[in-house]
Amino acid sequence: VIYIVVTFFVAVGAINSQNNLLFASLGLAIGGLLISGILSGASLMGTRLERIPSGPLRVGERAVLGYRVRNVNRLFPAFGLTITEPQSESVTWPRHIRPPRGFVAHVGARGECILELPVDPVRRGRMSFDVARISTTFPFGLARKSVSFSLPYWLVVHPVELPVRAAVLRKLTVRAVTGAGAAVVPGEGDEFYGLREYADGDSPRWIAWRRSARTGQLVVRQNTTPMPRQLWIVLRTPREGEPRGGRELERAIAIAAALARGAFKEGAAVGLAIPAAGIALTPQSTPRALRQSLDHLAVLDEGSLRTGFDFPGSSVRSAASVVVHAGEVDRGFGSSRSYHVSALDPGDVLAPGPELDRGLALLDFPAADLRPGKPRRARA
Amino acid sequence: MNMVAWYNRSAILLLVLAISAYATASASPEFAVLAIPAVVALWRLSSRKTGRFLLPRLVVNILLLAVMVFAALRAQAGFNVQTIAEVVVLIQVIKIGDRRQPRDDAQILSMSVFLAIAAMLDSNGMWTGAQLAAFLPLLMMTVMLYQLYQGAVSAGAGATETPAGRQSSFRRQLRATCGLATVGTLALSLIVFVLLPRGIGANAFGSMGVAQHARETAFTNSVKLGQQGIISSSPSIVMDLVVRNEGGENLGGADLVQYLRGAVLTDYDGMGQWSASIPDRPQRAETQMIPGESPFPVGSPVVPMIEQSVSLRGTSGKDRWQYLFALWRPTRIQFSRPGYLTHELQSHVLRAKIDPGPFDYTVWSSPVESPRDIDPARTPVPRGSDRLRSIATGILDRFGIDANPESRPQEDDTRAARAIQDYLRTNFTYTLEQESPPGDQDPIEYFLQERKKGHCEYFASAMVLLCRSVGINARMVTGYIATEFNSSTGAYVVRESNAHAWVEAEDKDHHFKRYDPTPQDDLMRLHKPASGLFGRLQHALEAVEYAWNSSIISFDERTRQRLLGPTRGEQAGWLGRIQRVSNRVSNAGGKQVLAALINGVAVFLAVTSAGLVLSWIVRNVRIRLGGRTSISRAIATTRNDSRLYTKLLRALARQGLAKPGWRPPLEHAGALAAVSAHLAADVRRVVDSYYRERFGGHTPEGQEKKALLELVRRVKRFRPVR
Repeated sequence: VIYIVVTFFVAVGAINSQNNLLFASLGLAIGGLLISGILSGASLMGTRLERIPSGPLRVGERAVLGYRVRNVNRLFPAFGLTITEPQSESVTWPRHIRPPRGFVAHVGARGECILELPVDPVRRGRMSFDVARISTTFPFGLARKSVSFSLPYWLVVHPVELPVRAAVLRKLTVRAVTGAGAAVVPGEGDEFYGLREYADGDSPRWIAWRRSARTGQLVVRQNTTPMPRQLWIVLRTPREGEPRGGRELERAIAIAAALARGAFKEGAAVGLAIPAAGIALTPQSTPRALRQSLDHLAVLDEGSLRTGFDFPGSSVRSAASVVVHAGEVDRGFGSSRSYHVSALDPGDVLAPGPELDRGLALLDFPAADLRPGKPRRARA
Repeated sequence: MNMVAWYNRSAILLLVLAISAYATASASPEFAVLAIPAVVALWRLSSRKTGRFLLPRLVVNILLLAVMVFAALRAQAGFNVQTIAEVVVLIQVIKIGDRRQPRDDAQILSMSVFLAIAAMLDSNGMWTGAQLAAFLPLLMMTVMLYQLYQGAVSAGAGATETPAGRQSSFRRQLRATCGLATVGTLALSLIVFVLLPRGIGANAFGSMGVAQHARETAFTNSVKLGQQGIISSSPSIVMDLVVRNEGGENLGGADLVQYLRGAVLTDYDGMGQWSASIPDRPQRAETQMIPGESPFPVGSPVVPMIEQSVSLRGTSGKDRWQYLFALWRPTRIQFSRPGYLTHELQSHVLRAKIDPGPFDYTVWSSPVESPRDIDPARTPVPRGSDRLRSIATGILDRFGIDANPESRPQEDDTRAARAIQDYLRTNFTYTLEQESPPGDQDPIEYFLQERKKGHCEYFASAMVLLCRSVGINARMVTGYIATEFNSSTGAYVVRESNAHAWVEAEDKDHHFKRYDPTPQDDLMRLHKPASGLFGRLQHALEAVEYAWNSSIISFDERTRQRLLGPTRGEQAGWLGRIQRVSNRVSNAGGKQVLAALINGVAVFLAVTSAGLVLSWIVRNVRIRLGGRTSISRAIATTRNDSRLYTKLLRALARQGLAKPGWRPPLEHAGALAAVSAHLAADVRRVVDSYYRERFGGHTPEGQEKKALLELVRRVKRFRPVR
């Protein structure tokens, strides 16, 4: 606007005074405007944008959105490219992160550049993207030109990491080991399991020579493989007639996720049961299984939860479990080997400290604070 | 040099150039002397504190308040471009000392542009134009760098840095883009400049956009003998003059002198004071001049006609009558800018009232008077004192001419005037020394009887009075003599020092003829153009200045039409243009075309050579200042991003272990093991760091840098075992 106003006054001054330097300035102003449009257009026309896929994110943990900016133009380099994600009805990222904004100073002709935009997710869930935009005001900042790329993509934001008391984790994992569910199967462990007849393919080293000599039949030793310690995490959401609170549910989900991560780190196979959502993931000790559990917790939608449900079946009932209640503790919900945690008073489970304060503050993060331009403010 | 440092350097240069252009335009060097150091110092200081306050907020507010008070006080005396420019510079200085965010930088750059526009409004001079011409590409480069700087700051952590290995490619491509943008913008602006019609809407908004810088010359319409008067030794140029005949042939030449009339002085008070008597309405015509219209008649047209294109470098100021200079006798005149013209019917003096600034006009003169313009009644002539009459009688007696006008045949008037002219030329000496006559003696009588030396005003005054004393109607004319012909431009350069006074005396046909009683040898010696190397340089510079004035400043509707519009009988469009160009070439003749080509090639070669020499000097000076040895220069001048590495190379060179240009650094480090294993290890560590910096973008900082510096010092201190 300032440019147009100044150009207008230069034009009026030139016409009025017939001052040729002002006519030349007017020419420069108009020429500059045209050249600005041509140069920015030429550089943008050859620009391509791709997303670089990344793993799941976690609330409260800085992550990066990756982009690859390519310039397919043979002659013109591209300068001053700003990469943004436009907001629309079809995308959900504005609920999770502040508008990402990246800047690439220079991409040479036929060159490319990797851009990593740091983001700080503040809310769990499925974060979807659609159109990404490259814009530039280069060379003179007179007009912004942009080109949009349809790049649908989604990412899961896992619940915030809350610190779990080490003693609780130990207690839970020990309980998992000593429980009836700790079955023993033959394998390649150190403990003796039993003897069996020799079969083709068995290593001669396994042959129990003394026993074979006594019985006159080749028998081999079998060792045990201890079953991993299994721990079920059961998320109990409010039933019919019980008070429902979004904040408590978020806290319960975060506690469940924290327990799952903690138990996995302790070596336990973690299973997840959310009866209200009909989810029951059998305990496994693989990172993939943990990620699957966290994915389910991340995308759990309060609106889709049933209010009529029971404690899961015998497989959960017979194993060690920790029931995370979104409301008051209901000790009738669970087995005799269940450990109960309430989101209303998680003090027994969560380790106090700045990390917990930060995590809880993030759970209470107001949605309005993600509006562009407003400084992020966390409430403790 | 990273992008921010580059931007800082460009921006500060831009500010300096804008202030300098304005100071040049407004002819106020003190402005530049005060503002430039302040701006440079504050910028350097504030660049180191990006994002923080250099000046406390309270101080900034107080300073801004002071500027507002200053602006208000100045506004009482009239709010003009100069006041605005001064306020802009003051705000700029405060702004630089204030918080530095990209937005502030944008405002500072905008203010520089305003300052450049203010310079344009103040002056159209070549030096202002030259600085603005340098300002333009620099502005483009700075704005481009600003775009990158601002984008990077706005994106914060989302900005990617150009890797160290690609810095030079980035710089090269940015420079190329800037060059492309500059050339493109200039080309488009040239098209717009030529296409925009001139003369429409002139003065519709008063004096808006009118260059305010009035220019005073030594020329006056009164002469006081014994005082400075029109005599000046200033070499500053008053006007450029091109003289052509009706066929368009240039009549100028190095040995041809042109007398440009300005004022006609007729009244003498007997005590050395000459003044012009401004005639009343019947003897004076006043008219409004509109540019682009056909030439206005100021006398009856008589062939042959001499066309004079005059470019006054400046006019005296608004609401003041400016004398227009022309050869005897003007018959038609055309203005390039709107204004008012006064034409005195008897003396043919032309005066104009125009806005200040450069002014072009074309005037056609005819040396032959039209009988219709001559007043048949003989003008009564004041006879003057007896002493003068006796001197004049004595002169005429020597030539056998009757001194009594009653009995003298009218045919002898011309002879009598020439006799007086010759008498003065041969018996008197030219000098610029001033000397007042004793007591209340008439300076003319003192000059004629006692001193017998003086300058052109004395000679002209004496001749006028001597002529009058013997009944010949004569008058003094002041103006300029054009002696300095620049063959490369085909124009006379007229300077302040070319101001002159001469005489017009009436002959028997009531025609006024020009006489110059000043000794001609002395006159030519005084007005001889400068020679030697300096003179040639001055000529070349003036040729450029003339080109600037004639092609940029004087570009008007007539020139535009000549360039674009088809003339009668000619074909329109591109074919017509090609035809016109070929016609011009054929009219000019092969010799002239060849001369023009040779000139063009010579200028190109000269400029290119000068540029190459300058760049060589700059590069060498930089290397010398950087203290680089000849051994390391080859590497240092290529793509050296590490000072540590340069120091290492220098240290090795001092030890006599210089790295040959062909050997890679690591290999050289290995080769040093033959001298000393410790030395080789030290060198290797520094080279490793250089590789990490050069290719991995890892710049050593803090302790790591200190450790590396220590290694380099160890290399310096190394004493090989003999």
